[in-house]
Amino acid sequence: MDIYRVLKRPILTEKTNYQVDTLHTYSFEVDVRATKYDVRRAVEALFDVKVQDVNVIRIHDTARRFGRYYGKQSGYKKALVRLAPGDSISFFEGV
Amino acid sequence: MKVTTESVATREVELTIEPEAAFVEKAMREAGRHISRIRPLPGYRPGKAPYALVERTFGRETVLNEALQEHWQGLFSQAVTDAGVDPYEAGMYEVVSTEPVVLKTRIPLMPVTTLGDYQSLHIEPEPEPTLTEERLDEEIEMVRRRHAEYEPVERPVEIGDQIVATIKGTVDDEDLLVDRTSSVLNVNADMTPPGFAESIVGMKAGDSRQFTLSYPADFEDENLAGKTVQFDVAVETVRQVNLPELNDEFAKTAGDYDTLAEMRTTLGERLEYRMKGEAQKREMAVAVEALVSASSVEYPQAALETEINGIIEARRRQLQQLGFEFEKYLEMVGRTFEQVREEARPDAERNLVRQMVIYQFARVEGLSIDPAEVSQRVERIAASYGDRADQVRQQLMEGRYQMSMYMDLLQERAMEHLADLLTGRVQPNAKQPDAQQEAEAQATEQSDQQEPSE
Repeated sequence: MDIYRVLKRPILTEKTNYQVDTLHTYSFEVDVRATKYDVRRAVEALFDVKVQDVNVIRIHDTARRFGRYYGKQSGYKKALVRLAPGDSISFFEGV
Repeated sequence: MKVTTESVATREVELTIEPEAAFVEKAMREAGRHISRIRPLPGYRPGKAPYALVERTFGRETVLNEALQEHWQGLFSQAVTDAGVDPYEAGMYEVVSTEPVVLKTRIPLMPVTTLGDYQSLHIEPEPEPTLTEERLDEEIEMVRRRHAEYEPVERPVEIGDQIVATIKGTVDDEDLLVDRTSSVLNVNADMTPPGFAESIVGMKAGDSRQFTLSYPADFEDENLAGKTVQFDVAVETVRQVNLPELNDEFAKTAGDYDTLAEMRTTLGERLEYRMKGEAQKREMAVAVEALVSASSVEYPQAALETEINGIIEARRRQLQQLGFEFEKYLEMVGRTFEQVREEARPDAERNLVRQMVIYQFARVEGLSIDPAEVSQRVERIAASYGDRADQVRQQLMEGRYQMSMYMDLLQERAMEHLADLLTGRVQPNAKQPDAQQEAEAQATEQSDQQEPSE
């Protein structure tokens, strides 16, 4: 898979910040068709880092109701990427 | 912090402020937390978003403005101290650049008064007013007229009568300039226009008469000045004015006097007191005028604007007491707010200069007011309110009233002192013109101590 289509966005929340600090793991929303290997290749190529582990999680669609209307919130695939010690991805610096 | 000063107008400067980077950094981080508390970012609890994310989301400018809201006042006063200027009022900032942070502010400075050499000025003292018998007679005549009785009569109008009449005045059969229905008039020789009184003499109740008269060119009502008006007067009632006889009985009704002689002396005393006060006021006015024309005051536009606002505010209050709304009044006189403001400008300018000169004079002469005197004034005002004295007293004890009263008293004292000086009744406190500065420093110290605490 084209590495420029794998990563959709970094997931930035308090939880992921915490994971960066303690586990050295960065979270991304990725294309649902991407595999762990795709993610590894993409991250290594785009951010110039060494990836140690990739875990992926499928977040399911969730049913949502807006008054009378039923709908769904799309799910996505989330990749947790652990980097080699010393490497880092600087989305934003400073806390 | 780096501050540069640039003079842009009379007593107005522009400060360029560049605060320390470390200070800015700290302040902006604080501000970032604050922003994220008010507008939480998704994924973060309020106040927990990382600073970098906040700055990227909201923009550096927003964060800077937020930080300045907290710190501008401190920065401003620091900058003012560093630049060594004396601001008239606090200025607003303008962001010149955010990286590094450079701010600009344009501020008016305190007016500077250069006092004329008042020690060489001299004015003629007002002559001591003397109470003449004629003047006193006039005064009593006025009281008599106030207590007069009006008796409707059938005879023709004479000078001295009171009439009720409907008067219409037209110019060239068109413009109805005078239109008064059933208005009460006292017929005397001073009626306007000249000749009016003579023209209506001899009319009886129920009569009407047409005649033409001209107003003088310098008549105070501009609409009428210089016009030739055709009057149509219909007299409704003629009343004879019966003045009370001058005797002890009259003295009793006219006031709390036992005899006519007593009334005469009391009225005389009051009149004399009033005349003295008026003479003193005239003298003070002349003295102040002399000093003002010998002095020069440099002031920023903002000071003048404040003064104009003061005048407009005073007028608004005055109108309110009369039961008018200011906006309605503007409509009535057919002027816009801006026009009225412009009209107030010359007065404001005069007041401002005059006040600055007087205060400067007070400072140089080392005049001050004892807090006890302010309290005395408060008591006097409060007492005049009778039942509500306590309430009024409490209100007057507030800081701003105390301050304005202090200033009023100081101004009064300064004017008196000035009049005394210029007429040569007393010697100046500041001995030499070059001792002025010393006295000034001292006076500032003194007045600082004696200003009522807020």
